[in-house]
Order: sequence, then C-alpha cells, then structure tokens
Amino acid sequence: MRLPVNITADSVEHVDASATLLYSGNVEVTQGKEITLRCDQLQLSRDEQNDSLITATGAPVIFEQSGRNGSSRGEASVVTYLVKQRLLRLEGSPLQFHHQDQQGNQTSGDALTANYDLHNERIEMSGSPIHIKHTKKSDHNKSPLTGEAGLIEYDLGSERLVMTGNAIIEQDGSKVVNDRIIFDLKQMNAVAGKKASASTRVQTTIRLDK
Amino acid sequence: MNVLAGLLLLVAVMLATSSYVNHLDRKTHASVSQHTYHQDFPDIQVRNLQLVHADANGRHLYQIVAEELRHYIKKSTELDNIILRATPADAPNWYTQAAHGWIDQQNKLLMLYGPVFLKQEAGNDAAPIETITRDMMIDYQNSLAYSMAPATVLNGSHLLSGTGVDIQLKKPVHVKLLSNVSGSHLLE
Repeated sequence: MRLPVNITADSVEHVDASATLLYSGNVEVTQGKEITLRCDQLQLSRDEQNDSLITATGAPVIFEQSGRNGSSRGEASVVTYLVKQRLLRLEGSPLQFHHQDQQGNQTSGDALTANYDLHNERIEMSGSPIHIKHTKKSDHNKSPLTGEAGLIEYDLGSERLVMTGNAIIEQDGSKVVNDRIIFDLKQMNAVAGKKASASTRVQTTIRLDK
Repeated sequence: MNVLAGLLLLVAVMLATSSYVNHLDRKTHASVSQHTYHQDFPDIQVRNLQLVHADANGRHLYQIVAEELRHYIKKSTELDNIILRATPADAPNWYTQAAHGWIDQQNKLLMLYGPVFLKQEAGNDAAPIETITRDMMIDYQNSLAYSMAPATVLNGSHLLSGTGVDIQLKKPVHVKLLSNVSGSHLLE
C-alpha cells in the first residue's frame, strides 16, 4: 500500500515552472511509522523517469527508519529519497549510520556515501575508508568488533557484512585483513578471501568467540 | 492585469458619472424637498451585475459577476457574491470566488472578504492549483494575491495547509505558504 508522505515545516513554496515544492525551516517528513527525516530544507520534485524525488539538505539531515529487522538512525548532509524504489541516498562528510536490531545489538559506521534500500533492508556504504563498529548486547566482557573497508554492504536481515577494499576486522586482539571479508554478525564468523580465480582461491576462516 | 485595472477604472468612471448625474438630480430634488444626501448610503446599487471585457477580436479577458454592487461617493465599491474569471492572453487563466468584495477608491486593490476560493490553471496538462483561504487581497496591477489567514492549497496529489499565503498570478505561477505549514503527498 502506498503511504502518503507527510511534511511539516515553517514555510513551503510551489514553483509551477519546475513543478517543485520547496519546504524550508524545521522540516520533518514522515511516511507511515517507517521513515522520519528532519532537515533544514526539502525539495519535492521528479527525476528523469518522472518518479517522485525528495531531496533533504541540512546541517545535518537526520533520518530514522524502523523496519522488520530493527531500527536505524543516521546523520548526513544530503539525503535523497527515491520514493518509488524506496531507496535512501545519503551523502556526508562523513555521514553517520547506526542500526539496532531486534535483540538490541548495535552496529554503527561512518562513510562518505550510502545507499539504503528500504525494501530489502540493505545498506551499501562507501568511503575512504568506512569505519564500522558492532556491539553485541549479550557480550558485556568483550570489546566491540571494529572494522574498516572501502565498500561495505550490510544486509540487516541476514546480519551479514560484505567488506571490500583493504578490509580489516578486529576484536580483542584477533585481526583479519584481506581484500574482501564476509562477516556474519549473528555467528560472529569471518570469512576472508583474496580476490582470485577459483583454482588459486585461498580462504581463511577465523572464528571469533561469541 | 493592466486590462483588469482599466476595466475596473472604466467601471469606476461609469459609476462616478452616474453618481454625479444622480447627485445633480438629488440636488434639484433637495431644493424642493430640503432632502440632504448622505454619503454612507450608496449612490449606485446594481443587482445581478455581469461585466465582460474582451479584446478587439472578441476574446474574453475578464469577467466579473456579482449578486450586488454598491458604489459610495468618494469611497469604495462593494460587491456581494463576487466571481472574477480572468483569461489573460499572457498569463495562466485564473478564477476566484468570494462572499464579499471591496474595490478601493484608486481601483488598485480588490479585497475579498470571508471565504475565498482561487483556482489557477497550471497548463501543460498539469493539475490546477486551488487555494482556499479567507480575506484575500488581490493587487491586480502587480498580479499578486495574498492573505494572512489560514490557507489550504490543493495541487493534484499534493495537499498543503498553513497560515498566510502569497500567490503570483502571472507566469511562473508561484504559491507560498508563509508559516506553520503541513503537506500530505501521495507520491509515485
């Protein structure tokens, strides 16, 4: 079901020439209970495919999202929401991202750009590098898992991180370094492998204690 | 807009001339009956007013319909249940309807009292912009309409509301809600 996008602000302008709505001052956007955006300015327009486009700018733009797999919160300088595709594009220097799953485990990161697919609950972050931190609610005695990479894909449903480009994962002295690391946050299981052909593929699996 | 100003000026001149003739008549009558004319009463009163202004080719530019018009000497003109339909050649068509209208003595401003409905055609198959507010001033020389009252704007799947509204009637059509705004949008 298509939910209406509701917006409150100090003022709004409708410019017919560009069929654009421009909201200014204390802008808050909600779509059902799923998405909330807070920003200084918001433009509602259409892209080349004539699909609705929401562009929020501010210092910062704050977004909150709650879905099947927990809730997310973040800060960025520009957030573009492609309504039909249900995709949030975040830009910042850096942008902050924070996710808490249904069990209370927390994952946070900073990146330069991020694409957040709200339908599939998957976020793809890029930066130079991206820093990420994961804290298990049940692990009181352990330090948080930390990592960095040039590109991180985080599937909130499977709780799996795919890290590429000088990827590093570290926790309590254990360290995995590789071009590509797939890390299962449920199992705390890292699969690291060099980018190579199948015949020369070398993989290392390091099990970090839960 | 200048044409509308001219039209309203024409109405004013017509009313003033009529008023003057009426006044002379009353003076003559007064000399007999000692009646004194009171400025608080209209010198001209017209029911079911319909005014159309067309260009040289017969194309309608403006149409004013009012249930009643009252003109006061050295004062303004009042209109009840006014409809103003503008079809200018160089700007999008617009239409406004209000319970009461008031034209100032200089014929520069049209004040619409009570509930006001204003519809602007957007053109190019775009949805029209409809504004519902109260107590709206139309500055027709500058193609502006504004109100400080709460206003609701409907444009296709966009519904906006706020307090205070500024509207540009010429191209590009521009509507601004000034404070405490909220919008509901069904987006695709």
